[in-house]
Amino acid sequence: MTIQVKNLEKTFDETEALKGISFEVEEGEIFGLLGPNGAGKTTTVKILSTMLLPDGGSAYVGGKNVVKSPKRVRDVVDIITARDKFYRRLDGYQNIRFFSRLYNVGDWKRKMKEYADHLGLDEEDFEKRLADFSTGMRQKLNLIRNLVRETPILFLDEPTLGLDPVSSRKFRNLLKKVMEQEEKTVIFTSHNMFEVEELCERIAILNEGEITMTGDPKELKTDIFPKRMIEFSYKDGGLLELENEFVDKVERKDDGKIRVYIEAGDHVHDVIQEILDKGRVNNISVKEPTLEEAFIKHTGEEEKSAGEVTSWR
Amino acid sequence: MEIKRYLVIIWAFLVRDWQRRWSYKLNFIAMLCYPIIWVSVFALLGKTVDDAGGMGTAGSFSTYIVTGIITWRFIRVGFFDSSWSIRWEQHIGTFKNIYMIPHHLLVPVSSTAISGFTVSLLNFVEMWLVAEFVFGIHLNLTIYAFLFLVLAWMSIIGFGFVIAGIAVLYKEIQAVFTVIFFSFQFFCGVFFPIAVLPEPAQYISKAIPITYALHGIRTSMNQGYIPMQDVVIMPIAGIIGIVLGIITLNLCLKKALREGKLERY
Ligand SMILES: Nc1ncnc2c1ncn2[C@@H]1O[C@H](COP(=O)(O)OP(=O)(O)O)[C@@H](O)[C@H]1O
Ligand SMILES: [Mg+2]
Repeated sequence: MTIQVKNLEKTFDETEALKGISFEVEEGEIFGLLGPNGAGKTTTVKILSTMLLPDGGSAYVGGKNVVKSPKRVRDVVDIITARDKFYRRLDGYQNIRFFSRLYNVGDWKRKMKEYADHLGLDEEDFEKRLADFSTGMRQKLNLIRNLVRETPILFLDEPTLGLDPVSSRKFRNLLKKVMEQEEKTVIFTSHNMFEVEELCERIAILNEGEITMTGDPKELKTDIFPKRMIEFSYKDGGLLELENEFVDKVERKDDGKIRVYIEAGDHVHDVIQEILDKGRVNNISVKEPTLEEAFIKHTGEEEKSAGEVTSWR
Repeated sequence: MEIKRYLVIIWAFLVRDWQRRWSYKLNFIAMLCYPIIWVSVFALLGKTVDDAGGMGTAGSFSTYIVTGIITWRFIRVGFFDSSWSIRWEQHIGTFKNIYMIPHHLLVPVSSTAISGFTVSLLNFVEMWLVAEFVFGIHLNLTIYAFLFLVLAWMSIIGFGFVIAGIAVLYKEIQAVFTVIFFSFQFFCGVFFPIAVLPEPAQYISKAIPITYALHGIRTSMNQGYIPMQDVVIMPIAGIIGIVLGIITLNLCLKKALREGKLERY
């Protein structure tokens, strides 16, 4: 159950949402689609799940053409997004029963119990109406809705959007646990580098409708974030001369803060050590350029030096 | 698609919808009360007119108007359930999960309509019982009358599918069609014979299948014969309604798939 995407294009009125993207996902792989808001992630996922027709290019999901055989694609695919809702007036059990019947799931009761145990929802939770579910619980139920269906392919379109950081991490851990057990082919989209790094085996970076890089998330990370910035100030307002060879540039701001730009890598520690050795330090912090910055850099605009990167996290 | 699969899906929608209705206990009771109040009001109005010498309708005016409103109620429920189905799922955020089945969108949409049919039936039975046993208005229900009713329902849910499709593209269009639908009340002889309408309006009446359905139902109930004209027109109207509905829904679906209007998330 693989996915092949070739030169996929989609334009809405004036917006070129996808400018001919290509990628492949192998069977059983967890593939990340990483990109900032408006990059075209949802557009891609919608085309692959037959909710949107492309303007050009081709896409095969599980060997089936998404334009020519949409029903057969929908037989092997399911999507989870943060916006998925259930019937508020029905309880968890009734909701799962409805969707299981709709999806032709045999033995759904047993499967539902099994997955519920796994995800930490108990019987009492299932007796609650959806109106009384928390967002995190609802997302678990959504996962159960998909799991009982047992589709070989799953798209997760920013599933953690709107969850607080703690629930978001819990949900990711659940996903990880589930994905280790299931033999699913997965596309996971996110605007969060760290999320993708945690879950995905391979990622593509999508920006303004174009894939700029594909590869192993750990490798890409150093590629995307080649620079680090250390920001601090000295209590006595002292100046700074650094000897470390990886230091790119030192800046002194009007408010007394000093910014040291360095190449990414293990030498961050050395530079910090040197800074600490040279005086009494206030509020030292290490910053990376935000993804948006990194994306801009990778869309072919001329290389900017670290000092020119304007947005840091 | 296998028929068995389709039946399971219809069953899923039926259970879901009745569970939802039942979950609003007071609403549920209200839902049962409306038709009773509605039929009572018109039964009394009919009796008042009959006591004052009638309105020149064949048979009593009570029978005339009660038949009219029972039929109207029947198709009204069908109209709303079929035209509102897609928009409602989009609105509450369940549309995508309904769409992601290996069948055409018509399968869930028609299942919703069929689920709504059971409400029509329930209303019908309630109203008939009240008319017959509370107000002594005897409606000579024949199998033909019932067939006319179902055919009228079919032609109207076809109209509902048309609206369901268009509403995916133009969200507000529903309001326009709802007004059009309600205007049928005055063209189709629900409350008064179409003969009292000005002549140009009567042409509109003749273009709407509900007119023939009501005529057929009334004639077969009160005069005891089956008007051939209605027998011919109604199945055609029912089939045309459904086919037109399916075609429009399909066209709108294609357009929505191109423009990305099927589901915004
Ligand atoms: N249905 C639509 N109509 C018009 N423009 C759209 C539609 N869907 C997406 N877009 C536009 O296409 C671009 C890509 O959107 P999207 O795929 O949702 O991005 P992402 O999911 O990566 O945030 C955006 O500029 C967005 O405004
Ligand atoms: Mg998106």
